[in-house]
Amino acid sequence: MLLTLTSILFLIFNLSLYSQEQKPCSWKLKGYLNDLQMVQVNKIEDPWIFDNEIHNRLDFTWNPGKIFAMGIGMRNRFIFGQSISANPSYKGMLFADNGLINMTWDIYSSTSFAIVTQLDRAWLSFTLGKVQLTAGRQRINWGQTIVWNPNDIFNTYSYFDIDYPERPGSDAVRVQYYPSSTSTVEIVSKWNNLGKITVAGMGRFNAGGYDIQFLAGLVDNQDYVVGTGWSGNIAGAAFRGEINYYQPKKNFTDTTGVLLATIGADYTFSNSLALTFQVFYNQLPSGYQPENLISIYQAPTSPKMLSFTQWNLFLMGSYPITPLFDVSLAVMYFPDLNGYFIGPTLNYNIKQNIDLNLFIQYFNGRFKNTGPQQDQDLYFQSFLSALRLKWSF
Amino acid sequence: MKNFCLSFFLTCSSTAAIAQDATEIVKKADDLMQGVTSLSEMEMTIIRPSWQRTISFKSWGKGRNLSMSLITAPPKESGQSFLKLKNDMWSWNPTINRMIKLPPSMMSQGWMGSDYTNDDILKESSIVLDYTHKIIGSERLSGYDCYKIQLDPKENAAVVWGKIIFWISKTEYYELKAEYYDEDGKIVKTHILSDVRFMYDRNIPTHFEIIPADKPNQKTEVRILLSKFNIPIQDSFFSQQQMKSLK
Repeated sequence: MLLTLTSILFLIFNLSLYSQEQKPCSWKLKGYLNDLQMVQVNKIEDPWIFDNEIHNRLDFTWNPGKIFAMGIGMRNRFIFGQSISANPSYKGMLFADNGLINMTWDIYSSTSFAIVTQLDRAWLSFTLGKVQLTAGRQRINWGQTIVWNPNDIFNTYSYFDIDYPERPGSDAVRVQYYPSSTSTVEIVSKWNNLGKITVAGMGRFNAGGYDIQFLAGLVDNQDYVVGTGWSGNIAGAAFRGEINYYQPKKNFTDTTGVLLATIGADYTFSNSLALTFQVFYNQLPSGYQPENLISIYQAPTSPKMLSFTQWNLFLMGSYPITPLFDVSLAVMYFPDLNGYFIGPTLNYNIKQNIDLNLFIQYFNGRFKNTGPQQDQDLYFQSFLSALRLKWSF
Repeated sequence: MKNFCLSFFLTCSSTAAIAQDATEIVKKADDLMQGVTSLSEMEMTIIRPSWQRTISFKSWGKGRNLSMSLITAPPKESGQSFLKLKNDMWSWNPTINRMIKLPPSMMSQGWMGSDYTNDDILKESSIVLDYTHKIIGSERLSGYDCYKIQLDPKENAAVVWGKIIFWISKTEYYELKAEYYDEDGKIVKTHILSDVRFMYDRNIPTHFEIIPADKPNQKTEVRILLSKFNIPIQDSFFSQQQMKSLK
């Protein structure tokens, strides 16, 4: 399968070189190759877990004219280390595909390594004037805020997943209509791996310096959702927000709904220091607490549960020390857990297309003990450090 | 008293005539570089003592309210596009399929880490409409006789500069040099333009150097690879739909 795909891509690439001679830029192939070395540990005296991942991404688009376009995004990963051997469910997570059609393949794997290939974009699009139809695996991004996106009901993702900036796609049919240069109306139908449908419509327009959107639909054939989101500015700072409300389809009248709401602001100072703030409320089932904090690295299974605590506060500062070297520090506070997250990152552009990134993530929190010693809280901490060397092409 | 009134009137009208001239000159220089509509392909190089990086982009403009740009290289940033309609600005990131509305505080930022600001790229302010103009002298620069013209921001104009001084060649209206000052009258950066070439239907300087005043050993160079002027571009081209499929 991999060979077939590679040869198709190779053929396409050759065609692109050929086609560039006559009509430049109708084909585009880009991607990257990176190596990520990670170490994770809960308490410092616990065993340290080392993993390495060689990750190749290929994105290719073809835009031959005004009507037809297509895109394929492919992720090839070679993962080896202690997580695979220590955690039997880890491989299952690697090979999981949330789409209607399985496009994730276990190319070759054993007790301590896995080679996994995934198509996370595979779409065709047709445009007629102001109407665009896109079918296939695609990323549908309705988010307005920076960290938690209640409005982004089609492709939930984990903020903490450092090696997936593109984020997953979903198997969907999308019709977009652009009534004006700054507005869209769209309807999307998506099917997940269990065949459950999510269908929703969204309208976005610009008024008084604000982008404002409203959405309504059915999520996973289970919950009705209505929502709104906006991006504007107050005194030079961006002011963004998203609100979603879910009501179960079953027992619609005698159940209570679930509310997710977030607001945030971001501002860039004249010295290029950028600050981002966001507060997020996620109504969770009473008594809910996560089984373990490792689960936060996985994309949330439902857009109704985007965080593992009800209240979440986020503050991030980022600053380019030079145009080649930027640093950032993200901090989250979870009042319900009396816990926090600290995530510094360093990014250094070594050469024109080569970057070195260092990510550190530290969690600390207390959970209610549901076991025999209910009076003693469970104390949890987790440390992750990752160094990535990335070549973009 | 009568004499005083007359001389006052004459002084006023002659000042007005000079100011009109200065504005006319700045307008001609601005029109030369912009046209009513324009399409250009540029290459920007950020130069520092120990390294340099090059970013290529295309930009489209119509009047002062409509502009769009697309990064074409390096690969990591390529495909990102920017749209500016009057005071609203958006960026499109194809990697995550996300349209982001940018706050005004982003406008004065160095674009992609360069000494070029978003304001320079997307022409937030107009050197013709947002400033008053006066000729403050003549100077010879790179073989051209130039007017030296001072620009002071009009009251309530949303501009980032306290003062600008332009050197504009007297016969060709090439803008050959510009000094940008902050509100305290301190020089912030200097633009030096050179390498006059024929582009589409006119001769224009095709090489810009942007030199920040407080960092003498760093600069940004912009080279115009291709420019077209007054080509037909519909207003509707400057749209969120279009910015997703620029190439």
